[in-house]
Amino acid sequence: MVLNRKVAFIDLSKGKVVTRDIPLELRKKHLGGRGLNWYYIYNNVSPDVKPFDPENLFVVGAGLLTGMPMLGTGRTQISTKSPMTNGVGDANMGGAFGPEMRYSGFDHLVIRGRAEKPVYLFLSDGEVEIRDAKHLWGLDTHETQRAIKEEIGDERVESMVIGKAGEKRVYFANVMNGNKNAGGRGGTGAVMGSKNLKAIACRGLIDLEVSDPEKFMEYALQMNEQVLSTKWAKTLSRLGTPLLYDVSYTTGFIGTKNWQYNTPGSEGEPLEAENLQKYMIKHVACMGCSVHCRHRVKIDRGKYAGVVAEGPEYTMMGSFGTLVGCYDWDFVIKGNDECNKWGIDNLSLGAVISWAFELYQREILTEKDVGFRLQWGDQDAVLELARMIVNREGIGDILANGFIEASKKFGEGSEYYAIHVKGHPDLHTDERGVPSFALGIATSTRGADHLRSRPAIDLFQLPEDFLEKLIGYKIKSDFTAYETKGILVWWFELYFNIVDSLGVCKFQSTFNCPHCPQYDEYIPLLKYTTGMKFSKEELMQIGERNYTMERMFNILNGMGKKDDYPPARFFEEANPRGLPFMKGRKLDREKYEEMLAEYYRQHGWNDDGIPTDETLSKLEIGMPEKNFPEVE
Amino acid sequence: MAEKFQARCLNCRNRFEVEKGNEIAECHHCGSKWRISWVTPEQPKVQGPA
Amino acid sequence: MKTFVIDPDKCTGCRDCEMVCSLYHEKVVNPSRSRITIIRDPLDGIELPIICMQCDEPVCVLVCPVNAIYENEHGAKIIDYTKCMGCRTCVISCPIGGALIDPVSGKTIKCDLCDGEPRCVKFCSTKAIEYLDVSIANQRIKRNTIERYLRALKSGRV
Repeated sequence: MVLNRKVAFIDLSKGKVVTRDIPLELRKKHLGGRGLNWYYIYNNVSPDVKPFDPENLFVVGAGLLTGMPMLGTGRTQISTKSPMTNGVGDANMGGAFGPEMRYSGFDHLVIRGRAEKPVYLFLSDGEVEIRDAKHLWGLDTHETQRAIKEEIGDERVESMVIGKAGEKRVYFANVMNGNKNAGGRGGTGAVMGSKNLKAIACRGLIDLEVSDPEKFMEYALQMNEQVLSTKWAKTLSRLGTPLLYDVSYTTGFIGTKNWQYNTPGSEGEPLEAENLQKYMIKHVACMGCSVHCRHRVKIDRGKYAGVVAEGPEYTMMGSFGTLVGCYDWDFVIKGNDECNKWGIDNLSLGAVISWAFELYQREILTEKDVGFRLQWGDQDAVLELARMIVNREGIGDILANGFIEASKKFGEGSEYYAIHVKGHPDLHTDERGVPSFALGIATSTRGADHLRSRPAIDLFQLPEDFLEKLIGYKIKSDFTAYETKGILVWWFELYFNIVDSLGVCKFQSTFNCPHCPQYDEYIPLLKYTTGMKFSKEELMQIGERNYTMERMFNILNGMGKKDDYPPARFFEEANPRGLPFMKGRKLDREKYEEMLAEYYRQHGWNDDGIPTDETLSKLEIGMPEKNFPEVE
Repeated sequence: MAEKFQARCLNCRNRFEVEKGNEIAECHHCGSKWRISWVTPEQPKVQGPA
Repeated sequence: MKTFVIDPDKCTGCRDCEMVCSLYHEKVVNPSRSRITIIRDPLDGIELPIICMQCDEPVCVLVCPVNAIYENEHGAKIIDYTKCMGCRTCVISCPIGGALIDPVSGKTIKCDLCDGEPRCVKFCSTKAIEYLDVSIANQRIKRNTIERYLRALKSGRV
């Protein structure tokens, strides 16, 4: 049965494991993936626990539909208390780890403690083994995966691993699977490193039984065809996420030279998506994905000749592109490959590096502080600073602790130039022209982020009757409006939570394309696979419950309304460039307040953004109750 | 007559028509001029400003 | 007469084929029990589909000591499980790896063309695996080859 996967409670300090069934009641309340991950953390990680304490939990979850032949369900959710925000640290990873974890018998791993020496876990057919990883410590993420495969002697082993950045507890270190699949955000890799846990490997032969194989097969094919028929999927299939660059740099919402500009203008032309095609060897995909949004690329000539890699994604086009004033695909590809091997969130890394460059421009940092000059467009300087951060050398050791700690060290108003929310760096999108995007990064439970609620379809200016049908409320078509956008963001927060809890890929959801499958399609999918019946209202209620639980975790850890604002710069400085409708735009503080209030009301939270007792009892969320079992 | 396909204008965000294979096109709503790339032989998209 | 046409350059490694193969034949999702196998290594850049090609003169039929393999109306070479004793002679002798052992049931398994409508083909969104009349297949194979050449030419790699 799909529902008979287990949860393993693993105590690394004691070297002990207990496995348990996942009660059906919990499935009905949280589904799986992100939802269940946060059920375990909310209840077991109290506010006094610091991110690198052994008592912090590191939780891995497969979505309820992970590992099925449709909608890109190769997803894995990785959750912990984040070293960057001291609140929700949460990442969703593609690839093939989650599916293999399910075939090995597990849907969730709840890991606490700290191993005395480096270890890795091997999950196989319902068993968890804690293995020595001394020989793996120091290897990069690719070498580690190769070594594990060889050691186990099975080429179908999948592993999620940390690299140098995770070992060094760089606050934005990530977890990697395959060539480029990243559990990128929240600093999950640093927490894994703090537990002396180098890798989790799995291999399984346990059947995933579905309740109606015939109907499911037919419907899964129909779902894939529905996605592939959209213009969005066709574009993504060819260009991957770099397609977003063409829109953002032309329109003017791409952070440039840190966030001083909102587009490089014609200087940025070399990075247009179509120009990546000449590097391409072939398209590759995550497990269960018929879209294949990633390129396998090779650099044939020049300084970086010989690099063979996967990606890069849009994130990297900011990090080693516009944010640092480099407009060269060779460099983006090279930098991306390095990040993947280091095991570091390229998005956060880029934001921190470009911040340092602007501080250098403003003489808050000097050549003496850094050891060399930080001049826009200097590829070697970017790469060297990145390497220093990963290895915690020199000023890299300060930058590796993220914006909040580093800006305290640097002082001199440096925090103003750090583009983050809750200490979590923002994607290089520039949200000051689009209120719904700005609210989304501000209220995101994991701090600034585009994958928690971004209503990307807001930019299409869809007809209002169409939006009303989709969202269930009257939503203004005008993307520059503030009114009703609190409701739009609320809707997407719930919806993306369900997408993450099911383990479906967001690129095959209503994220960028209103014609992709959503609630109405998930209902039959859940029925044919798990046999469970849900209504749309019930699914939305689960989304609200899961989201509110994350919110409560942040509240209990000292966050509140003060942390629900986009970077100050977006209120102060108007867009200096871009198309006529984008140029000159910035956020309006008064209107933002009204939007935030509307958003709180929609969630059933009070004026300070705290869920009311009524809301909590309606959602059946109580105060945390520890339930990590005895592992003696 | 050449076949025409629709792309979305980044300036006014309306759909405008592009003749098959053309690499430059003008939005008939707002007059913006765009360089066009082709996702498929039937699907043009704005690549950047002309 | 129909045949599989496989183009590894189009295989993305998504393994929808493996998942749906196990779903069709075993009523469960379990890629390890699939009749089609993707040899895959994302670190070395390999995605290679392997499946029984339903040979004209199948070694498996020749070597089977109990004559358990017969041909059905679609040209599929089928294992008759009332005869098969699981000796694996076909698995060992197939030069392309078309016959394999189900690691769960222990049975010898191979592609049976899903009653003339291979499900792997249906789910393959990039057409890395197709099932075509041989005359069309010949054209498709030549086209795939020439497209590969043109791509290489365009990228400046030849």
